[in-house]
Parts: sequence; C-alpha cells; structure tokens
Amino acid sequence: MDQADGMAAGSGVMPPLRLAARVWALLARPSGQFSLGLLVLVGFLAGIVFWGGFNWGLETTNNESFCRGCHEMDQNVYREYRTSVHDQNRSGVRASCPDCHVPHDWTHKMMRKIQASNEVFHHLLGDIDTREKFEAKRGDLAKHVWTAMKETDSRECRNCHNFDSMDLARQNERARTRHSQAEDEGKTCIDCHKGIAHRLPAGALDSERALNETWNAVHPK
Amino acid sequence: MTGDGNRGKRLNARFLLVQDYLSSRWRVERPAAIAEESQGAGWLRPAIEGQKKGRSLAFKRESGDKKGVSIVTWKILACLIVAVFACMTSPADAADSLQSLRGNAAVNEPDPSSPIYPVREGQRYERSFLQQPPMIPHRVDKYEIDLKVNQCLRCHDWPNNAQENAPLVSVSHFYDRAGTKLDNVAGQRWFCTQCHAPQVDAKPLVANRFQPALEK
Repeated sequence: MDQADGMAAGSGVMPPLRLAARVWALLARPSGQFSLGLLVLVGFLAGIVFWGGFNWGLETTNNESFCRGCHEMDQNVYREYRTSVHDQNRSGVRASCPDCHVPHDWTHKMMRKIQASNEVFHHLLGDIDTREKFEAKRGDLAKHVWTAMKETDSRECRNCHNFDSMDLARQNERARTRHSQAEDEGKTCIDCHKGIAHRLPAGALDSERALNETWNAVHPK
Repeated sequence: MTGDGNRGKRLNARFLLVQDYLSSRWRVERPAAIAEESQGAGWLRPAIEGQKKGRSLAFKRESGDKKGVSIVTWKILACLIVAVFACMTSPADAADSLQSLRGNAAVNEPDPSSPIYPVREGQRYERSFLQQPPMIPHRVDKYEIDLKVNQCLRCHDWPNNAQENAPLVSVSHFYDRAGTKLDNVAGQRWFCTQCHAPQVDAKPLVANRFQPALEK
C-alpha cells in the first residue's frame, strides 16, 4: 500500500492496465475479514437495490408521460392518439404508448429499449423537431413500425386482440367476413389496421401496397 | 342605351343630392347644376323640394335664434325621460315578454344533445332519386380523409377494389371539372363525405313533402 501510495503521489496517475490488475487481484483474493454469511447477505441486499433500481428505471421510461416528455412525440403522435379508440372508448379501457410500441416480454423489451437509444440520438440531433420535418419523414417512420409489426406478427396488438378470443358472431357482417378471411389467409393485424391511433403519412396507400408486395414475396405464407 | 343614360343621370342626381344635403349644413350654396339635373329625374323632385325646406330650417338653426336652441333642449329632455324609463323596467320583465326560438331558455343554456342514430350496416338503402350519391352501408367515423390520405380509397379505388371486393368509385369521379380524364380520383371528388353519408334511420329535421322516387 505504501508503495502504491508513493507511486500515485509520485507519478500522479496510475497506468490503467496496472489499476485493472490491482482491482482484479483484490476481487480474486478470498476475503479474510468477512464471514460468508455477511457477504451473502450484503450481496442479496445489494441485489435487491440494484435489480429494483434497474426495473424502476425501465418502468419510468415506459409510460405515457415519459413518452410525451419530448415534444416530437407530444406535438405530433400523442395529439393524434388523443380521442382515438385506444385513448377513449365506451368501456374506458386504455392502451397507452408502451402498450403498443414496447414488447411486454423481457427479452424483446430489452432489445427494444436498446433500439430506443437510436431515437434518443436523433432527438438530440433534432431530425424531426418541427412539424414539417416530421411530416417529411413520416412515411419512413411509419414504414419502420409497419415492418416491425409484420416481423412480429403484430405481437403487441395480440397482447389484447386475439383471433382465438374474438367472438366473430358479435362482430358486424363486414368485420366478420374480413376477419375470418384474414385468419384463413394468415394475415396479421397491421396488414389492414394502419393509422388506427395516428394519422397516416402522405402516400400511405401506395407504400402499404409496396410493403405488402415486397414482404409477402420474401416471407411466403 | 337610353335607359342606361337615365340611370347614370339618376345616380348622379342622387349623389348631388347627398352632396347638397351635406353642404347645406356648412351653409354652402347648392350648385346650380342640381336644379337642371333634377328636371331630368322627375321622381326626385319632391325629395329635393323637401331637402330645400330642410336647408332653410338648418339656416335658421345655425343663425342662432331661440327656436333652434329650444329644439335641442327638448331632445335632451326626451333622452333623459327615455333613460329613466329604461332604468325602471328590469331585465326580468324583458325576458318574460321576449321569446327566443328556444322558448324561455337562458342565453348560455346548453341545447339538449341531438339523438345518435346507429349506422345501418349489412343492407343497402336504395337511392331516393336518380342523382342521389349512394349512401355508405358501413361506419366511416374513424376514416382519415385529408390532404394526405383518403382511407375510403383503400378499398374503393382501382385496383384495390377487386381484392377488397368493394364497389369501385364511379368513373365520373375520374374526370376533373374541365372534363379531362385522370388516373386518380379528381381533386373536387376527394372528400367523399361531402356527398356520401353513412346510412342511418334518422328522422327528417323539418317536416317536408319529399317523396322517394320508388314510393311515387
């Protein structure tokens, strides 16, 4: 220790490699002072704090008010979502931003959270910080979401809307015919239900057609 | 042509009349031209005669004699009396006596909401007259129709109509107002719900004698 202190005082900064080696030596050495019980207990408590903190962080960044935190979301997509059927309906059940845009199971949720860092990056760049910029980019952004939905077979929709749980007899004739037809053809929700919570981009019908044709050619049913 | 000439003269005479009236208040002599002009427009003559009288009265008033002053006093007095009466009658009396189209409803009272008629789906209402835009046999309240997108065309435009098994937009909708044939639905036909309405069993808002062609 004396040697280390003297060296730190003398040279000012310890070379990083030597520092890492010393830390590793400290961690690899069996503890001489603390009982195994204490170490396990401290580890357990620290685990609760850190894992809890991690989950708390995930949840705080996974709700409507956080999503609205940046004005790109608040001024564009959130305003369009308001009064849509997923925001207001006769029974009062709501599906807010993360219910549809963040997967619910842990693995996919983590992957989506890592992808979201790209969105933070572009927020900092100010790529869509005006309505005009947003509308100009909207076609591409919408296509990203549509493609993701097709890749996951509309997994986030199906968290609530299940073909198996649908009572077709209680649907109107048009919905009944089209839903049974879609189920037979192996279609997924997003194939028809686009722009249900947000306004569509300009030229949406053409890009929908293009996406369906290319996608269905690559992924035959 | 003669009629037009007369009309010009008449307008001119009317303008001069106004000018004459205004100028009389500043004690400017009426131009001699008006006298000749008014000969042509016989129908103006009595009015001009009246104007002359008015002018003579105005002269008197402005010359500051006592009769003019007393007229002003009378006017002020009349205003005061009217004001006193207006203060004595309360607004509640006025509300009792006045009836709006809504009856005795207060101005800020909300109207009762109009009834909601569910859309009749699964059947087609026949047209009531030949030129009637066909009614929509399904709900359209969530469809986006704006400058960017028209979601009706997702099924009703060619070539989507075939795979969606939906009726095609009438060919007339592919002509612009100059009669040029277009590849897409013409701009003036873009907003479907301007003419086409979802079919509901709504009652007429006003009693009328309209009879559908089929029932005649």
